[in-house]
Amino acid sequence: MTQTFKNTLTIKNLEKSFNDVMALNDISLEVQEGEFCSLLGASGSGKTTLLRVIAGFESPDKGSLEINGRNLNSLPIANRNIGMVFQNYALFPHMSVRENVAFGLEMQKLKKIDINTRVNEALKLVDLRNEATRFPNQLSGGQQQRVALARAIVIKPSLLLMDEPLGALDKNLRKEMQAQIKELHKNINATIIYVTHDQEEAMYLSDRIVLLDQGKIIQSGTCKELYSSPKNRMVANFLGECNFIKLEDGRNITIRPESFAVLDRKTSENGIEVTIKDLVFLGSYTKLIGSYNQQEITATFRSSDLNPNIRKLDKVHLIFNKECLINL
Amino acid sequence: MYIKTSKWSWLAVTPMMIFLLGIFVWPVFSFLMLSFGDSLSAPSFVHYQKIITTPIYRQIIFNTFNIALLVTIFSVIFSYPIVYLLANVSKRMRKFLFILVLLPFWTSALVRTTAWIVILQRKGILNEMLLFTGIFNEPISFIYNFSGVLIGMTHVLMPFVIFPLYAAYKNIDYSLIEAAESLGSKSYQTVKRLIIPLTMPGVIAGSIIVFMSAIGYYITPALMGGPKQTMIAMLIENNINRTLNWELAAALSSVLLFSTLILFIIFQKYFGFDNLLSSNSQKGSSQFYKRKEKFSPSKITMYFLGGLVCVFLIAPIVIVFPMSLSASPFLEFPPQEYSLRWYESFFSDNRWLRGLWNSLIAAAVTIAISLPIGTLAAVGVNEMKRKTRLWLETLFILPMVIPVIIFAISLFYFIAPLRLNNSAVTLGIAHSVLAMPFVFLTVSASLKNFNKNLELAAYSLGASWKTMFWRIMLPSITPGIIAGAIFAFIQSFDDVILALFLTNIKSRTLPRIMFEGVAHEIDPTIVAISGLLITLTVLLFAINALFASERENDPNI
Ligand SMILES: Nc1ncnc2c1ncn2[C@@H]1O[C@H](COP(=O)(O)OP(=O)(O)O)[C@@H](O)[C@H]1O
Ligand SMILES: [Mg+2]
Repeated sequence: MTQTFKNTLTIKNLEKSFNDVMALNDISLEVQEGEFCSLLGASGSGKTTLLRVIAGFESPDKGSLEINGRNLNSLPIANRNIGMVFQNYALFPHMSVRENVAFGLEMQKLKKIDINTRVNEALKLVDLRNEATRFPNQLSGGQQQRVALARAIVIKPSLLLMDEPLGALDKNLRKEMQAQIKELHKNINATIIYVTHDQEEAMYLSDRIVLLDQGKIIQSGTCKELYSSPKNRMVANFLGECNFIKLEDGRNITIRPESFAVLDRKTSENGIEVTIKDLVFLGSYTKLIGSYNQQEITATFRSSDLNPNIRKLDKVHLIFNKECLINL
Repeated sequence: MYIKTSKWSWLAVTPMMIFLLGIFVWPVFSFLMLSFGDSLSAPSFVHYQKIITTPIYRQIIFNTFNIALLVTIFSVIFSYPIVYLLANVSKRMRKFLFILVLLPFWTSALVRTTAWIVILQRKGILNEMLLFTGIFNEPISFIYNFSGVLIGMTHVLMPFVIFPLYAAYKNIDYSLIEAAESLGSKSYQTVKRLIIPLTMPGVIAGSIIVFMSAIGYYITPALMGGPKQTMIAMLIENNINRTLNWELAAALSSVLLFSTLILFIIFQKYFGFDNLLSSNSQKGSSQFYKRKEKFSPSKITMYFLGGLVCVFLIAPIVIVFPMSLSASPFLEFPPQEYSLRWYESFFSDNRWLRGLWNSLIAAAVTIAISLPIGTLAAVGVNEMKRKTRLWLETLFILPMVIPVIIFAISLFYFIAPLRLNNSAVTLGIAHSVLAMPFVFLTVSASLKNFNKNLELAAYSLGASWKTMFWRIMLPSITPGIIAGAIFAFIQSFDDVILALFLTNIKSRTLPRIMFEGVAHEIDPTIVAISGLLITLTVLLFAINALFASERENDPNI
């Protein structure tokens, strides 16, 4: 157990400002070896800045960074052994795929044979062996993305940083690449810090999610923790949808749309009567939008569970279980 | 609608086509045909044979290419530090440095040469300084030899490398450099593996232009070199004026022109000439994240070298002013005593004033001809299909490419029998050939920036093409036209070579009189005139910048 904790990234009280903007505000974070940690947050929340400080592209105003208990602050970028996948890939346009991937190993002055072996391994891992002699502009977006990945992992970094690596890809390709990244993470058992603003992507990939807002960590934990016990409304809204309802008796409740059951009459205390404003069929599930005391309520149901006879403007009861409520 | 504009566009380019074909292409062609002997049906190649078999000619051709190559290499090496400086300083400073880079280019060859002679001659400023420091105890000959030619030519041709290199450098996505660093690359490795290969296209583009221009140079090697640095252009001139061997001169011109055209075609094919004057570059996509680098020894070294190159570029231009204010009849630095006597001497000497008057006439004629014709051609070409456009553009910028000496001799050969030479007006017409490409290019550039939707909006509101042109298009391309006028003026006002062939003692221009002076001994009046000319250039630059910056604020762009 103690072995595992050796390769921990420890960030303490990090601060970074640009002119007046406080891009990072008292960030403290620990990432364990082999962990897949996602930084999630709206645009401008400081995700890229945090990544760039870790990589050494920016120096922090305050605070410390350690890997294996070794302080990174004064270590030059070239000596950090941190792999980085850039949002725009940053492939060297004048080098072939093979040359791109070999670059980091050449910097380490390895022997030609060793370089070749490791480049081949990396290219195999991202399934690009047949494209080795091509140049970046001859590759599709997904392929470029994989070259960037191979180039970063081939140096066996102690930490792999990815800044919205799938941001430029279309939706289907993104799904495919997510699966590949997840697979890769398992295979090489790398410690990864992954930046995204897509909550689904973060939940699919991560062991842990760190939610950032205006340069501050709002909450950090496993996907389940963040989803079922968000710390505040913002977190609750950011991961999935959420209803904030003021009941007739004055109580405020917070509840996820999928925590409701629908009945045509009142059976228990824990229910609200809503008028259906819209029913949106979304395939496997259906979204019900209703109004309750001038508040908009969203509820989702498996399409097959829903009574086919209910219509717009019907009045229905939405029942919830006390255990499903979120405590804010 | 569409058909109508295309008819218009041909009408618009016709004047420039006729003008260039009649006054430029045809005379040059007729002159070059001389090289094949009298009868066209049985062309003779004796003159070409003579060039190949005569060792001195071979030597001169070799010299020419050798000098051009070295000038190119020096231009590239010196450009890197200044480009690094340009890319890293503040926006304001960058604007200033750009002007610094361009000033030598837009300063008359004679002014530059005068200044270099003042600095570099045996009793010049540099030698005095070196002697003073005690590093050397004898003056060094910097000038009237190989180093003189290299210094003079590199000085003026460097901007051709600096601009494309700067564009290429700025286009490097900064995240590439960060990627390299995160992969363990040290800064020298990043330079070797990334910066140099990625800026290579810019360097090659610039190098071709430098080399191409250098092989046709006349004034600088004639004034700053020694007998051993004779270049082809000087040999051609010698054959016309001394040995009177027109056929041989024509053959030599053909060789020079052929080399120039080959380089020009290569350049057009891969780069395109019209991009050269504008230093516009797209910004690297992650400029925002470019961090402020700490001062490292390598950065300080680059800054220092960049500063040195700046001094090299600007020193001869700055030095002229204190020198011109010296009271002494000998060129000395720093002057013992200051006075305006050399300026007075200029304004009270009829010889100089007549020269000034002739220069002004020629420049006025140049602007009057080249501005409307060049503008019209640019508007016409802008409407055309890509392919036609490329051909016309190539024809229209040809006068910038072909060595002026060839054009000058051809025109002389063409019009001397008609007794049309020896007049400032004729000279102005000839200068129009040189100036028109500049007008064409500057107006074309502003047309490219002209928002096509404005034109369509005008049509949709019921405007005819004519109304649209006068009310919408012309006002928004005015800065380009003004820049064209300024360039046209400078082209005419600075020219020596055409003036040498097309004017006589009565009609000679200011630069020609200066040339005759510099070739013998520099009279301080020439330095004073140089000061005036530099002031004029800077003023014109400022006017241009004023209009250009107004344009930058225009929300339509
Ligand atoms: N180099 C910089 N100069 C000035 N401001 C910056 C710079 N980098 C980031 N910022 C500012 O810091 C804040 C966080 O930016 P960033 O880390 O890029 O956010 P995210 O990646 O989460 O979208 C933003 O307000 C941004 O404007
Ligand atoms: Mg970002």
